[in-house]
Amino acid sequence: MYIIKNAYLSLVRGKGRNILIGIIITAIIVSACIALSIKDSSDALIQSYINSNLLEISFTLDTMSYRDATDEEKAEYESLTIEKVIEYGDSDYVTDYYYTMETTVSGTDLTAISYDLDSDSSDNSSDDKFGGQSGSFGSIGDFRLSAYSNAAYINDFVDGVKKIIDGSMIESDNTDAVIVISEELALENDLKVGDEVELYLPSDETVAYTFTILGIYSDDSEVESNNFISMNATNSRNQIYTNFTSIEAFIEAESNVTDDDTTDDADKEDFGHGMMMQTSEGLTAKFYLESSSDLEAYEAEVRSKGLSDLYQITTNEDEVTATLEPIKNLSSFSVSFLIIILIVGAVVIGIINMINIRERKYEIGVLRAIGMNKLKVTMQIVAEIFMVSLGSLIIGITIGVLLSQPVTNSMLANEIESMNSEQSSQTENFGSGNFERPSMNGGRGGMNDIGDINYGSLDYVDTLNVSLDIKTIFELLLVCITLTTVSGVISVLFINKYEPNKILQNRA
Amino acid sequence: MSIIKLENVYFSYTADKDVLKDIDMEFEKGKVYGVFGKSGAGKSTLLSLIAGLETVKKGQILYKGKNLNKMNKDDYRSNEIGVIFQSYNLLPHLTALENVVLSMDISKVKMSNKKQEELAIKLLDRVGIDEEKAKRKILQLSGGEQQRVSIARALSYGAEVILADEPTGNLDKETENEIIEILTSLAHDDNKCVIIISHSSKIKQKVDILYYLVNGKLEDSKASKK
Repeated sequence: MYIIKNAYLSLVRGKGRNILIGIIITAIIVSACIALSIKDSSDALIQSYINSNLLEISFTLDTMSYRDATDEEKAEYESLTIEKVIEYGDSDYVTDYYYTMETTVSGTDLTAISYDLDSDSSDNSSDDKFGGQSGSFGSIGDFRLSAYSNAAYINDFVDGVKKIIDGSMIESDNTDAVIVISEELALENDLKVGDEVELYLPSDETVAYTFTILGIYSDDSEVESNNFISMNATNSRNQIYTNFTSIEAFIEAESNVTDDDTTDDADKEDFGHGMMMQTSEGLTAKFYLESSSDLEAYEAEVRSKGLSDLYQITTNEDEVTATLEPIKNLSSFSVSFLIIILIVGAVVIGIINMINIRERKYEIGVLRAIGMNKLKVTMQIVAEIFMVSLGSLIIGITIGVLLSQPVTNSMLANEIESMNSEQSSQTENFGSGNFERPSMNGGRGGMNDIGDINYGSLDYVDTLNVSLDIKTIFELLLVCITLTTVSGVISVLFINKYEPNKILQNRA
Repeated sequence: MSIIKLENVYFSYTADKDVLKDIDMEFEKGKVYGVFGKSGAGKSTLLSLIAGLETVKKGQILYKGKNLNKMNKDDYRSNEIGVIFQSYNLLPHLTALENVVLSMDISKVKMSNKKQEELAIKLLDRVGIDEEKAKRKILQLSGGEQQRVSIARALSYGAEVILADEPTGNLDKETENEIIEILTSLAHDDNKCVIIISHSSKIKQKVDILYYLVNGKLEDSKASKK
């Protein structure tokens, strides 16, 4: 107890020096407070983004690994099938999942919508291969036939880009030969709900099925193409929705056609794998996990259920948080800033403490001469620093709370400005035209989005509400204790160096 | 029976020259001892060794029969002996009273703050420091008053041995007499062992046993009795 009393008396005696130390520690605490508030608030915001957007995962065949795989590994490899997707979706970790299948088809007496809306529609003749910007391309048809296990996952309809204007959407349990086509396609070909349309396999015109139009949708998406070669199938107006029963008939028939085309046994084997991959590319599955923390356990589960190691598991975590890039940068900067502050702070406090102890050599000598042991002398000096630190902590937190929001706003604004100017600069580097990278926001991907990739700059999150929670206060206390400990260690080193008799003799 | 005994004690600050050589001394309670000698004879070094501020190089110092080297020196200094330094060695930012109370805090004497203060005021009063002066900061007291505070501090935790290094060196004659009276009464009235290191002829007249140090050795290797 007397140590505390003595420490207090000593603090009062050295007011000037202790106020100076207090100001320095307060400055460190304010900086640390701002840095920690930004870091914690940023992390919380990023985490809440991740949590509020379920973690979307998909399985992607790693073609490089497949190429380098041994024959044995290739033999063990199984492509993704609907049955497998359903099996992988049947997991406690999965909150929901869906799968889509796509292929391209051509239509009998059905004119596709060209990219150039002003020009006449393209000829859908299969002889027009490589024939023009908007013609058919090889065995790729003019129409993109898509099936969804759950129509609620068709983003264009969710976003309102596409709307059913006549008829209805295909229900999940519908197995009839039905399709939903775009308004433009209906107008171009004078079609209405209830009419019948024949679609056939581009590689084999004999594989043809007749479908009834169940619904017609309007499409407000941009029609401009940024693709190097614009194919009709990539135009969203040429997208035709159907069910799995219908699309599987085409895909199965196409596999048979591909098999028939192969003559050599060796080629057949290779091409067989090619077919398999083509099928697997046509099937896209997305699984939704409640939390990113479940990912590891879920991966172990699907691997044990037979998912080949040649499939990579990809998540949309980065995409979900793409608009938070400035916040991430701010958080990363805060961490670096905090480390520098702590190092500089510890050095400054250390130097001040060294000077302090040198000045108080006589006092230490007297205390030691009258029997106070080294530990207690050290405790007294540490107690003094701790009292100053505690006072500084209270003042520092108060100032930090007041300053952290305006400082954050200013830093975030600068960060966004810097990122936007960097983006503009990149655009200028390409000269005129739109060469910006596609926005990954929304996490859509795959073939079904070829026609409606969202080009343009991101709308970065420009607000970060920083607040001081118990965790941050606890971290600041840790900062304070760290500084006090550094001081204590220096005190011990110095005090152990001094023998009372030598100090007193030198003074005498 | 001796409370402190030095047996064949040697000490040196450097390897080539012994400051104290072959010292044998005994100190008993109830007596005032004077250690005299010229400057550089080793008097203050002797006090440092007895006070536990230095360690003997050879030989041993026994306190109540226990080898000082094997004792906790901090405990020894804070409980068993009281040292009165020539330059007082008081803490200037504290009052006279706080200086005395602090040494009680450091020692193993356990009593309430109020009792500590009462005892400290009593001790200060005994050495001539009244309550008003007791509450002054050290630098607001004269040299003689500071030396009195230093004596009160040495007495505050009931040490049986009082070591005084040139206790009257910085004082006027009147104060010198008063300090000598206090120190001698501590031995004769309070049965303490008082060891004074000094040049003062007045002290020489008042002590019970005299030791003379010459070039680090005891003259005739014996104490001269008055």
